[in-house]
Amino acid sequence: MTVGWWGAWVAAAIAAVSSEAPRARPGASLTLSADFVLKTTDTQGSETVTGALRFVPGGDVCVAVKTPRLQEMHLSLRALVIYYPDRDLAFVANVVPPKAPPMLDALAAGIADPGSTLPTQSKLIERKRANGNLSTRWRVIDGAGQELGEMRAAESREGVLSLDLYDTAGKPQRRFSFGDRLRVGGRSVPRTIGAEYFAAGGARQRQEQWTLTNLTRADDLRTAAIGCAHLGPRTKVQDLQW
Amino acid sequence: MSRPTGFRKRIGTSAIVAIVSGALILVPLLQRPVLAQQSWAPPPAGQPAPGYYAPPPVDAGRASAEGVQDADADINGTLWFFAGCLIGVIGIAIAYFAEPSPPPARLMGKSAEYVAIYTGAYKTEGKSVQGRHAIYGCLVGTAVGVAIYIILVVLVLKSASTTTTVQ
Repeated sequence: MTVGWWGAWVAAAIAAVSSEAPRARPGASLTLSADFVLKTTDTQGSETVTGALRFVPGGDVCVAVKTPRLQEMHLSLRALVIYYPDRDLAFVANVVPPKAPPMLDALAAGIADPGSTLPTQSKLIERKRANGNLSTRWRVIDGAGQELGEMRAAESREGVLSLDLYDTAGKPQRRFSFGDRLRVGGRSVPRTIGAEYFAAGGARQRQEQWTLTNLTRADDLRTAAIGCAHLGPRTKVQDLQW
Repeated sequence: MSRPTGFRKRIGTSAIVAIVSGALILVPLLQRPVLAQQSWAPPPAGQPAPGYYAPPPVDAGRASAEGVQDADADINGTLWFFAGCLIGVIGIAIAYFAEPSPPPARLMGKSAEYVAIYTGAYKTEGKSVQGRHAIYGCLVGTAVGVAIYIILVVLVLKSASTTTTVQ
């Protein structure tokens, strides 16, 4: 059920990211591309993945991994496609509602407005200002009226500084922290994102560190080079259970 | 007669020495191709053998272990326990039908074999954890229900016997 609550959050985050950009650029949805470095640390050790990614209007995300091995990913509301260009092999996972669509949650958390990522029944339980920053606490309540946990957000003028998600027992589930930001395509996008994932008992299970460089609007010519798992007629396609 | 015997002995000893020496030289040579096939080193990047999709043994074991470990950590058994406790058999059915999916970030930069094995292991273990906790919840819920029923029956019987005694 943790996955259920997380899934609801992801779905709302995607909706927030793919919807109209607030205030700054009415009518523009998120279109950005960037090079990335993702460093992951867990109990098995640490690993670094590099590549480029692109947010496409409508909520799709394209990822072209360059190291440690060539891989292209296309994340959309209905499917996840993982393509290996050197083998012309693709895994296709169809996402059937009510299952949450696949999403790079750390990026979604960094780009979406925190309040918009919660189920509509959620309640603001605390709001205070300190040193020019705004801190809010939200009780997360699903459509059936069941309490799922708590979200705490700290925001500056530029955007969200940190986002913490707790379960009903007060144990941390996810913790995101965001570095300095750039305005791209009407959105405030963090250049660094730290994400910590906790196990059910509250023990830290995994850490991700995202670094985004060369942030630009995705309609630039450069982004045409970022692969989006386009399958050819001879591509070997395998179903991936999702 | 003694000469042929000594000669035979010498030939026998030489033959044994030759066989043992030959074995010592040949066995490592024979072992090399076998060791080469069992190498755990990954194939050179970008040059996979055509048509080769069998996962290397270490990658498969690691992918499976990580899938199981991540599913155990991600899935909150407590809430599935309550699902089983509150909605009983329906909760168990949902637990076994609702397939958890791993976050896509965990599949980034992984080999095709890793992705297939990790995802399968994650889902299998995830459903198992969900189902197990829902069953525990269902059993506890049923036990509590039965206990309440027994208490009610006892109370009703007691009140009935008290009413009879008063009359």
